[in-house]
Amino acid sequence: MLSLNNVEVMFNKVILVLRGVSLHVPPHSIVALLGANGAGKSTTLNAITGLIKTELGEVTEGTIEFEEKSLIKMSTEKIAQGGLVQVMEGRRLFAHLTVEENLRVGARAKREKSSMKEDLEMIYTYFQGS
Amino acid sequence: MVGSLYSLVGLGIVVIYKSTHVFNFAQGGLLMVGAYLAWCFMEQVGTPVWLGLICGLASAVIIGFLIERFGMRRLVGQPILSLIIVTLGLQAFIDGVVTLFWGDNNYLVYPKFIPPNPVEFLNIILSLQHIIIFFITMFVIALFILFFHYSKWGLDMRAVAEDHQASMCMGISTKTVFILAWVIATLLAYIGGVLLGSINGVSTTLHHIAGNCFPVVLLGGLESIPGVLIAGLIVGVLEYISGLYLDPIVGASTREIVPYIILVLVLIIKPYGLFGLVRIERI
Repeated sequence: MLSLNNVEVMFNKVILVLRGVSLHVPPHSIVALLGANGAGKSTTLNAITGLIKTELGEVTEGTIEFEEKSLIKMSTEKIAQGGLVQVMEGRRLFAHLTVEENLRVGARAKREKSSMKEDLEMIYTYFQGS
Repeated sequence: MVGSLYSLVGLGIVVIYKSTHVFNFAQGGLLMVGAYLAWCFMEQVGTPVWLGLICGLASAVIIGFLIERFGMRRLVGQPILSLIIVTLGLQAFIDGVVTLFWGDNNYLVYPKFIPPNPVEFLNIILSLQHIIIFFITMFVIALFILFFHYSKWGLDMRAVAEDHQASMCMGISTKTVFILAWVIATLLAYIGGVLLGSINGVSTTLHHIAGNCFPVVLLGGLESIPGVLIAGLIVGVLEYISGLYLDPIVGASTREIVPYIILVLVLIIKPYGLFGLVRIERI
């Protein structure tokens, strides 16, 4: 379960961009976050995954928890390794890596220790004949 | 031989730039301090040559780690001018430390661990030392390329070089990649420093040689590893030819100017260098 409670986000300790955001995503469910341009949808997601730190942002109030662990002080890569991965908007592919290398990088966040080879074979079956 | 050393040292600059987008103006200082450290272990401490080289290597790893951990990490995301000033400051700091410990008027000599004998090949007299250094350089570069393209860490470095945020979202630790980049660059500078020191002796002028790596890096392309390899050889050959044919005509040394002239001409036609990656920014 992903849980945000009364989250407040500031950039450069000056600009308040989110205030009082609460959100709950129960297990095995899909939640859509809708809003007008500039409402703070991407900022909310970046706050969950820790990417706002790369833009000098920080969560100043509230809690963000995933599987009963607080995410606020965790690094983005630790959050991803813990099973919470953000799919970024736009085509954020690694353009100068091969297709297989892109898939291998994507598998870094896997928590299950299943064979990467089997997973690659499964992906390739999606594009048989291509 | 000189071109291959330019490629080796320039490779360190490219590795750091690809991963962290920092242009390391202190690569010459790292080369110089690496040469001094190897000499220190071999001559001042008195270790056998092989142990001195290994201790120097270990010291280079520690230096690279410390620079990233306590210096450059804090500057991630800062304006590019700040990054440039810091690496220039780091160069000056290294100069000061070397002068403090070993003085600036000394010319220090390694024990002869690479034989300097001349050899004859097809009626041409070659320096065995230069040949060995060339092959060592090519071996180290090949080793790095294999690591960069076929290891997990190499893949992580290439992913971070493409997109920091996307890499972090995939669970790649950018901090670890940054440390690795600086350690590798320092190691490459150390090896270059030791090899150069074995030919020219160890002195505070060594870091000027790394200054010749800047046109190599820019000519090859700031983010291109094949580019820096080829550009290093090109610049090495150009320096040799200009020294042989232009110096008598001009009446002064043109070795250090010709690479920059060629660099400007190439950049007019190809602004990203011969093999540089053209970045398209979507707004």
